[in-house]
Formats: sequence, C-alpha cells, structure tokens
Amino acid sequence: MACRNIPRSPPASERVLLWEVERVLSRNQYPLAASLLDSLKLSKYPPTHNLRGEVLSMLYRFDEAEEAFSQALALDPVHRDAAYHLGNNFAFLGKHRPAVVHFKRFLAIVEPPINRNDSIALAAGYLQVGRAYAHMRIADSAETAYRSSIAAIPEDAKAWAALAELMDSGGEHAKALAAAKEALARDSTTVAYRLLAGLLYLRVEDAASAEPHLRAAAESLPWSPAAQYNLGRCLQMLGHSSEAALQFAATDSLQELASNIVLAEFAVRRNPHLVDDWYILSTLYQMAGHVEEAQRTGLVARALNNESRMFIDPNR
Amino acid sequence: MTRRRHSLLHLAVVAFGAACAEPEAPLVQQEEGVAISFTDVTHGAGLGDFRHVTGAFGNVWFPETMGAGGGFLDYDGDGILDVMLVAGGVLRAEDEAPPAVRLFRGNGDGSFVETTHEAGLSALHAYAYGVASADYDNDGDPDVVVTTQKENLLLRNDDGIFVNTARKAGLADEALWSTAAVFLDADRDGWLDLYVGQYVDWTPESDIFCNRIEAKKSYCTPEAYAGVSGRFYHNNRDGTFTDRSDVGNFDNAPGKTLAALSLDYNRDSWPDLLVANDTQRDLLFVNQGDGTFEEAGMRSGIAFDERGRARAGMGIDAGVVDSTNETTVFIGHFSSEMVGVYRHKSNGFFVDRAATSRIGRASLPALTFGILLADVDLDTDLDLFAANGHITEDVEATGEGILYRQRPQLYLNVGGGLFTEILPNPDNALSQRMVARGAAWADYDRDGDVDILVTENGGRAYLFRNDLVARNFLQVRLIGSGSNRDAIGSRVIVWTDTRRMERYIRAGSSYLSQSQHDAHFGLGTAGAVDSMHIHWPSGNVTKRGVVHGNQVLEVYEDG
Repeated sequence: MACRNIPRSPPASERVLLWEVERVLSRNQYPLAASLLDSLKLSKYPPTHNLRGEVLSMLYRFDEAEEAFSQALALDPVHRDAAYHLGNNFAFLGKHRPAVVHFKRFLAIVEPPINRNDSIALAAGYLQVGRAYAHMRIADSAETAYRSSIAAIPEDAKAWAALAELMDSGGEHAKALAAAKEALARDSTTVAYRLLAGLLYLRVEDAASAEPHLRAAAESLPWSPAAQYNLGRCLQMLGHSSEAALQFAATDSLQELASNIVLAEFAVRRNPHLVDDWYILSTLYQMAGHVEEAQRTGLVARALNNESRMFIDPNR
Repeated sequence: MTRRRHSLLHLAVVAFGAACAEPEAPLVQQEEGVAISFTDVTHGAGLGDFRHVTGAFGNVWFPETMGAGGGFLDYDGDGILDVMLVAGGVLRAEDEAPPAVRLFRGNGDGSFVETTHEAGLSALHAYAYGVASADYDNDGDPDVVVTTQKENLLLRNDDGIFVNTARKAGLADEALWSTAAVFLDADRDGWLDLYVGQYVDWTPESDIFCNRIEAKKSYCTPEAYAGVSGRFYHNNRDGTFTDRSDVGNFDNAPGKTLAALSLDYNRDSWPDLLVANDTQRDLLFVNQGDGTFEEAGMRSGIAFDERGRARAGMGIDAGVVDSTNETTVFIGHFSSEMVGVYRHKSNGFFVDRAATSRIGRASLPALTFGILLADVDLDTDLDLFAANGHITEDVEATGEGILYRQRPQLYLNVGGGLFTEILPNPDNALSQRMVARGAAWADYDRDGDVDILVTENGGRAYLFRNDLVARNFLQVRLIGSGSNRDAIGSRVIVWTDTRRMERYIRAGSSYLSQSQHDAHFGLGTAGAVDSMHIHWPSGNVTKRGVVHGNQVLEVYEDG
C-alpha cells in the first residue's frame, strides 16, 4: 500500500523550502510561492503537493493544480484535503462528473465521523456532491446529497438553501419556499437566504411577503443584479412603478459590469502572467462587491507586479 | 381547399415499416393511442444536396458559428409551398461564394426542385443569416428580406423572379451584421413595416483573439464585442422604407439580437415586438397605439432571468398554450440555461414558468437556437419544438454531457400549462444529432399536419415529415384588403365544444426563420369548429359559425 511509505515529515531540505513558501504566502506572494513549490514536484511528501495544488488553483492554473492534487493522492490515497480540493478544482472548471468522484472519495475518507470537525467536513462534502449533481441535472441524487448534508449538521443553513434552489429549478416552488424558510430559520443574518426567500415568494406570487426580504437583500447587496432586479419586479407587481424603475436601472448597470467581469476573467485565464489583467479583474470585482475575489486577485496582481519589477531590476 | 391524404395506403406504409418508406423509423411515442411520428424525408424531397457554408478557413472568426435560417413561402403562387434556405457565405475573397439563398419550388407531391437560378437568385452573394417573408408591397406575392453580414437584401418578387431592391428601398444604407427580421404593420396602415435586429460590431479587422486553451484560438463569447442596436423601418407605401429607429427607443436599446417576433400580448390590436438578445437583456417594444414603441422589457419581467442576469437568447416564438388564454413567450437559450417560458399575467407583467412548465430542467443540456410552437399531434394545443446544436466543437471534452451535435427536442403540451418531453426511439428521425440552427413549420405536403424544417450550421437541411394519422385539423389562410395583404398581425380564434384556440399571424420568428403564415389548428376528435373570429389588423372582425375541419380555408377580409 502506498500509504505505508508516506513519510511522516518532509526531508530537511524540503522543510526549509516549505518554510520559505510559508513565509512568502504570509505576504500573499502566490506566484513566488508557486515557483518555489515547482522545485518540489518530485517530493514524496503528500502535503507538499496539496499545498502546491492550492497555490496553483489560487492562480487559476487549474490544470497544474489538478496534477498536484492528483500527485498528493497518488502518494496518499486517503489524503482528505487533496481529495476535497481536487473535487473543487474540477467543479470550478465545470467538470462536475470527476468532481463528484473526488468529493465522494473525500466522504469515504471522512466517514464515519468521530468528532464535530468530521461532521462539518461531511456536511461540506455532501453539499459539494449535491451541487455537482445539480449541475449535472441529476436532481434526485442532488437532493439525497443535500439531505445527507443536513443530517450531518442539522443546524447548518447552507444545504437547506441549496435544496430550495434545487426544488425551485424543478418547478416545486412551494416546497422550495419551505426549504428556504428552513435556511432562514437557521441563519437569518446571511442576506443570500433572504434574497432566495424573496425570490421564491415572488415565484408563488406573494409580492407582499417578498418585499421585506428583497428590500433587505437589495440594501445589503447593492452590487447584486438578482437583488436589485427582483426588488424591481416585486415593486412593479405591487404597483410602485417609479421606484421599480430605479431598481431596473441599477440592474442594467450591474449587468454591464457583469459582462466586463466575464471578459476580464477570460483574459486572466488566457494569460495568467499579465499583471494589468489581474488589476482590471480585481477592480471590477471590487466594483461588483465581490470582496473576497477582489482581495485575492488584487494580491495576485501585486505579487506579479513585484516579481516583474524584480525581473526588470534584479538588484532591487 | 386541399385534400386530406390520410389513407389506407399511408397506414400500410407505417404498418409494414421501411420496405417502401423513407429509411428512418417513424414511431416516436404512443400518446393516448396516437402515434407521433416524424420521418426525415430531406433527400427524397429533393433538399438533400443543400449545404450551408460557414466560410471557415482556419481563422476561427465569429460569424462561422452562427448558422442561418430558412423557411416556407409560396413564391410562385401555385398554392404549393416552396422552401428557401439561407446558404451562408464566404469570409475571404478567394473562396467560391454560394448564392445567399437557395430556392426550392414545391412540386405538389411532397418533392421540391431547385429554382435558385430561375428565380434570379444564383448570382446574389452575401454572407447571409436570416429570412422573413411577406408581401410588403401588397402586390399579391411574397417578398423576402434576407439579413446579412453587411447590406441586407430585399428580394421583391416580380412574378416569380426576385429582384434585390434593398438599396432603392432604403434598407441597405448601413453595413451592419444583421440577424433577425420581422415584418409587422406597426401603425396599422395596411403596409408592412420592418424590424431588423443587429448582432455585434465585428469585422475581420476588429476580430479578437479569444482562447480557452493557451495559444489555441477559440470562438469568442459575445461579450467580447459591442452590441449593435436594431433598426426599425417604416413602409412608405411606394416600395421604399424610412429608418425610424430614432422614434421609439430602438436607437438606444441593447443589441446582440438573434431573434425577434411580433405579438399582441396585451390584446390592444397594436402589434408589439419582442427581441431576444445574446448576453444582453431581452427587449419588449410596446406599441403606443400610433405605430411608435416604448421599450418595457424590464418592467414587464422579461428582460433578465430571475437572477437578474441576461441570458443567451437565440430563438423565439409565442402563442396561447393554456387555458388562461394569455400569450406565453418561449425563448431558446444557451446550454445550462433553461428555455425561457414567459406567460403574460394580464397586467403587462410576465412570469417565467420555465421550471413550472417542466420544460426548464429538460432544456438545460441543450443549446437551443430554433424554437417553434405548433400543434404537432393535432390534439388542440400548441406543442414546442426546439432545434439544438452547440457552437463549440470541443464542448464534449468537458465530459459534462453537453454535446456539439444535439438532437432536437419535442415537448408535448399535456394541458394545464405543463409540457412533457418526448424521447424519440434511437432509430427515429428526431433522434438524429445535428448542429441545428433555424427551424420552421409548415404543412408542406398538405396532409393536414405540421411538418418541420431544420437548418444546420455548416451542414445540411432536415425536412421532417409528420406522419400523424387520424386526427382533424383546420388551416386558415387570410387575405387582407384593408389590412396588409398577408394579414400579418391578425388573430384567429376558434372554438370547439371544449376548447378555445388562438393563433397570431406573423412573419419572422424562431431563429432567423419563416414558418407558414396560415393559422393552423389541430382539432383532435372534433370534425369542425363551432365558431371562428378573425381580428384583422385594420380593426375589422370576421365572424363565422360552424367551420368544418380538414380543409384549408381561405378567408378574404372584404368577405
């Protein structure tokens, strides 16, 4: 068995390099970290490859990330982080079938749960399986996965919300609304759940019940076309046409922004080494309120910028 | 009046299989004892040699993915439908260009003979996309507008010879990438006006290098290019048109249009216009009662999906499909986007019923271009046909079940606003996978049921003969006098003892295609309708009592 030969820690030389990687990552220098990790491609230590995969996926180098996670799993078939990350890597690329395979592999490693962390991991794994099945249009399997996620952590709202969306896509709007209410009952602070509930109230043509949820969502998520547009639709249904028109105008602007983000993502994936493209993407994310993505892509841009300066003037 | 050709001979063909019929197996499904069957008769009908030309030569240029439409018209006025297919074009000077369109005259026996040359079309070259046919000059024969990459063509029909009068008529003054064309009598003056949708600002010089895999060029998404607004042309009643896009917000509206159609969703007798855009919001131009329009896509709830996102609108049709008697609009979208199913709610507001109607989830794997409503099983309600095909040849590499060549989908209307997808037997004509684009319906063989024409990008055409047996129909052909001669914009309503059915006469729909103008009704087991009302665009209303089924009924506006 491969796992019998897994080293408990990396050799000293590799350990030194990993410390260096840790240091540059703490400064968010992802491209530099990737370069350092590139020299550890032949490592026998699975966590090194898992880390390499994580850094590469941060840089949108998904093919290389896939190879890194796969190498971690080849060395340690029960490396749960690598299995989960590999599933996520496939899911990000829209390859949901292999994503399911690796999420299930992750679940098989985690089960049976022996502590709360395991249960949380199980819930997350089942949720991802459900999402992948939903993308693959296998609704029954998606529902089963979501319900398994709920069973693992009953107080978690995420799987209820996903279940609501699944039922909505199947035309079961009343059941979808009931699931959305379950999500809200568990987490009333996440505005996405209020948006979902508002949308589903609109579905069942209850604009009056939808309005407070959609107002809250539109206020909290000024960059969200879904929030702005559905509040507009709701107000239109309630006869508040002039107020609705403002929401529609906002939606139109956001739509243009969304189109620009698609283009910018395209550019970054096409050539992940161009600093300017990362800056543009980061700025657009910022404008659209995608804070996490804006920070992450901004960090990549800055790191690339530093590296290019180093390249121009190696004595700096 | 035409005869109904359901006969013992026809039944025998079905019963004894392929011995004397077309090679494709016919049976799709038994539904309440009625066999729904389509046979691919393209080759036997004389359309087998047609090939659409993309002009691709390795540069991976945007227009190559778009394909083209086609449709039905009776250009020689012999009462037999003819077929016009848009042939595409070439993108570099040294390549041999096909005619912009190819014409096939119906022989009356279900076959066609090519008359492109005889009709004056063989020397007409352009990179062509769409067709819409109507008698814009009210001289009694169908004319055709052909949209192209540059100057559009207006093919005036002079006794069966087509003459391109676009420049003289004022339709060729702008060299823009045009797509969908719709004839409608916006001001109800008896003369058909024209809407032309435009796509994006692309030229070989402005081509952008897009790729999904480093260094290998792939087709760009439409976001890469600026959209171009559609144009509205007013008919001057003398064979010419005036561009009035500045009146009614056409100038400022988003472009990237791939489909458009006229409808009267609010039943005010003034034709409205619905425009489906590719990654831009969809548009609803509401007629203000004077031939001008106000764009109301947002407030009507039809502009975006319910996530507030613009989808990739490709094909469009509309009709009354349920007992609410309200218009439902169907819009074909990209794969992983549901077909849009927007039902009007009687107050100017539409609700997307894609999931509720059970079309939504089934449509997710398909990239739907051509889309049309027709009562294919003649059971009194409109069914939905979707012509599908992807734009990316290597889409299957994702392994997610999205195919490049896709089979068409037939959704049967099962009542209550619900549809069910018919899954064809593997050896049936409708199980063929294709890179479909345009779709149009007509009863080309005059046997009373609705047949379907599909076009492929860079490929052949498909003529699917409907081999339904033993159900009743009524086909109503309108000839306007106070209204435009084709009676475009008329509503025909018939009642049987159990059903109310409604059809709207339009020119231009689906994806860049032209279906038969006639109002076609399936009557199920009823041999007649109890009454029929025709609301002409002029405001005239014709009322008839009992009308017997299984006939093509010609109705003249002046009685």
